[in-house]
Amino acid sequence: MKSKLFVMVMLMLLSLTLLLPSVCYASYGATIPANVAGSRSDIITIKRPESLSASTSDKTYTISATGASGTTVTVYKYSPSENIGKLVTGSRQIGASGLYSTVVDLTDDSNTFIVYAENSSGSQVVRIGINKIKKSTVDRLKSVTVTIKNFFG
Amino acid sequence: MKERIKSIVLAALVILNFILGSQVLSTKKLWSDDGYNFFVNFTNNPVSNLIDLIKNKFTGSAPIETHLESPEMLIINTGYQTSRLALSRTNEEFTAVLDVLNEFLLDAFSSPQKFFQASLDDLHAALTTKSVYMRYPADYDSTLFAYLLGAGSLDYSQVFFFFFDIVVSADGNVWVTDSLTGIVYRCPTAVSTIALSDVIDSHASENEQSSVIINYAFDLGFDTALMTQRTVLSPMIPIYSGDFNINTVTASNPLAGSNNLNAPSVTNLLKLFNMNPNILRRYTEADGTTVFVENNAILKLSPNGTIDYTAKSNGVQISKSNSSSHYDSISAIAEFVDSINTAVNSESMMQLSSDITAKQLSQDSLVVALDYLANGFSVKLDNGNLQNAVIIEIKDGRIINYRQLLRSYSVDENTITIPDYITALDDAISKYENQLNDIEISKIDIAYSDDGSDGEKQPFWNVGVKEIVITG
Repeated sequence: MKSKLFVMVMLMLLSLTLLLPSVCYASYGATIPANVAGSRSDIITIKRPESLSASTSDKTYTISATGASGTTVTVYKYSPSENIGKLVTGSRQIGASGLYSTVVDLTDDSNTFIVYAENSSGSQVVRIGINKIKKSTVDRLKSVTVTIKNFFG
Repeated sequence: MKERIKSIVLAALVILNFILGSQVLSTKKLWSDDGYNFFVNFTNNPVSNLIDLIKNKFTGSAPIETHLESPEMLIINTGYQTSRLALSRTNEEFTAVLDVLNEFLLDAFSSPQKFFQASLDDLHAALTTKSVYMRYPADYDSTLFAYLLGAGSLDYSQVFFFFFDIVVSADGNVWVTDSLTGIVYRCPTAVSTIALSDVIDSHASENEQSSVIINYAFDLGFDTALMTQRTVLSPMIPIYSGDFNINTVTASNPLAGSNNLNAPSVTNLLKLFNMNPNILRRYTEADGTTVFVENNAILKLSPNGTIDYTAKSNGVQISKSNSSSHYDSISAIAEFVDSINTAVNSESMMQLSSDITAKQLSQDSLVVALDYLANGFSVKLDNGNLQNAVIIEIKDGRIINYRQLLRSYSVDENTITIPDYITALDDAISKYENQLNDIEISKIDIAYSDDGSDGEKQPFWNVGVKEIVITG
């Protein structure tokens, strides 16, 4: 009886050990915890924005990345009021080209996106901040640039 | 007396009959490629020719559709990625926008000394502000391009060699990247920028709610390899964010008549190839190909719509000048190909598909290839014998070889969905995924595939690969 119990416990432990990684890297659904953390930092490389933050006057922004074929990438938008990330683009698996891009809407002045990537080796979380500035501000900045350029001739 | 007059008149009539009959037979004015035809006299008489002349004067000649110096695509950069807009040759605004741009090009290409070296960053900055990106179907020799534009015979070999895209920015600068060296050149122009700014602003307001976003590969950082990135794209490749719905087209052979070959089309073709129907020999091969043989040339017309012309010595003269340069000949090619297409009601929109470099232009003979455009997209033709719609060889201002597969395309109501750019690229690369290490993509565009048969033709993503590194 004792040995039977021992075998059962051992089997349970073994199955837990085997299942644990897949549970850890399981995909999130429509939301993701704000403090989510990945197990790796080399699954994807964010190409745009290069410095993980950018400012634009556009209504949308294209996030791009590269990664190994088979990696699933999901993008969430951080909601400060609820302190969670909400799904903005459905999961997409990186294909043979290794390239990934998605267009996100910029609904607020300050937008934080949580990019969640996972494959068989683990998961990675990247936070991207996109500030939306008014077109008039950009135009004013452009005119200043032109003036300076003209000044230096 | 009466009987005598009757006899004299009768004798005169008999003699006249013989004289006129012999004249008809000896001058052969009434012979066409189909044999003896009395009615040819009506169409060839001076009155008919005069009527045709007056008619052409009022209606104008057929417009030249094959512009060798024309880009295949324009992207209007509004300063905002959300409202960037791509125009193909079938878009109504294409010609109007191109007319505005050509003023800048003509000014820039009027002197090689006006071009200065610029940085790639400056070019990229120009593409993110108000500007228009022009992509050409092939690499152009810069000297030839200036010639085709009408800027004259200017030597650009000391500046840049050849290119396939040009950017005109709203501040009046023209930007060219040398395909050979990768060096960017900028040319400030003196052309007023008001019309260009108006064009860009009007498209920006119209396209503000666009569902498909256009980014260049450099925007997304896909033009530089980092870490394990295996796929690198040419910086100017436009990447569309979403799927497309594109109409299918139906292809047909315009040379196919009710019986065999369309007789009026054949007559028109013989005229264009300077073949005299009175002195040529004609026979039909086992596969139905009609062969016209003259002392200097052979013209074959296949039932599948293939024209195959070979000149033994002097071919069809297309260049007005006797200069040994190919420049005059190339500018005359478009007109000749248009004449063929008009004569047989073949598809009239064509574009250059072979690179024209200075090295090719310095050679004894020059081969130029053209392809059809259907619904604004290029048609990749391959019927087993021909991989281009037209292959033309010129020597001393004369056509010595000419091959064309005549086609007509009509746009269907049926549409099919083309996947977004990255999905298409994944599909293309996945076939070789296990073998290749790195891949450099030079071009990816939508094209129709045509195997030369009649019927529906579907669009597909056509991927151009610059370099592949195979494992092992």
